[in-house]
Amino acid sequence: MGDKELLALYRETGKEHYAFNLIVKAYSERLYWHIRKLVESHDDTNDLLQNTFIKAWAALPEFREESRLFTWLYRIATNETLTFLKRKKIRSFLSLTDYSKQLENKVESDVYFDGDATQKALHKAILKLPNKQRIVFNLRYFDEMKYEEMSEILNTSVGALKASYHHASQKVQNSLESLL
Amino acid sequence: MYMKEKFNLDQPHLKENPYKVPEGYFNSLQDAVSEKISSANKAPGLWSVVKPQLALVSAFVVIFLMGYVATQLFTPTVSNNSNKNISAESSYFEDNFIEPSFIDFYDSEKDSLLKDEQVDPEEIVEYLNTNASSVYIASLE
Repeated sequence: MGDKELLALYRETGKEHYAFNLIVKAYSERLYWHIRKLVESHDDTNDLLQNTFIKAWAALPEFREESRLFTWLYRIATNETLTFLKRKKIRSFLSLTDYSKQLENKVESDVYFDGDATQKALHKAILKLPNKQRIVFNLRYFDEMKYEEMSEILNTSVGALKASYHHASQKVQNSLESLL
Repeated sequence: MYMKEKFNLDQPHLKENPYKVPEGYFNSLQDAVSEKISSANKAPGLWSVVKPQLALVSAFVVIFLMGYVATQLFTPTVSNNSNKNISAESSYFEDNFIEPSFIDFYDSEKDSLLKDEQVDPEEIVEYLNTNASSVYIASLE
């Protein structure tokens, strides 16, 4: 079922919950991996994903279909995650710890990380990037998302996104060359 | 000359997802989201609305009472030395350290015998005029 059909079903009286369940089913996996690559931990991802859907449920009556449902949900998830990361960074700054180091340690000790040494090194290198650059890199590198779609989600021009991705991949490459 | 080999970011296996999720996670996620949405939709009961306000009022009452008790306990009272003296004296009497006598209760201020009261002569004349008959009878006795 496409976005349009899902939204039409949602607007039918008495079928809101059923339609929203279908939306959750359709997009939960993609949103989960998007958040997971940014926060590393499964538990944090689970909390952020649930919050994303709860916010989407509350805002869905006002959704005017100016953007695609998928783009809209990605935007909510990205904002939730960025707010979470900002809060974590402030907290670690106050406790005189390095949050990106903490994330790197999570990759090292995560029982749900199944990659080889090179994959581990790649993910550690990505964690060294600033949060917004990390999002751009992940969306382009792993999800192979078009710049136009990314522009809608991140509210940034295509040119700026291309430049950001270029810088990010250079940094990741340099970091990997020094690590391996 | 040795040149460091450039790392190839385009290796296909690097783009694979190395993360895993607990088994059955995505199936249980729908139920968890539905449950949270249903509990968020429930209208709050009267008690849950009144409870925080009652808590606030009772906190104010407790603070007020604590302040009142503290002021009562720590504000110095105006001491009445004369009362203290009286009570000290009466306790001496009660304990028979001092034998009470007439002099203990004698108040020289109130003793009219000690005062040299002046009588107005006009009052004597007036008295004699009005009570002349009784004065005459008294002189015959």
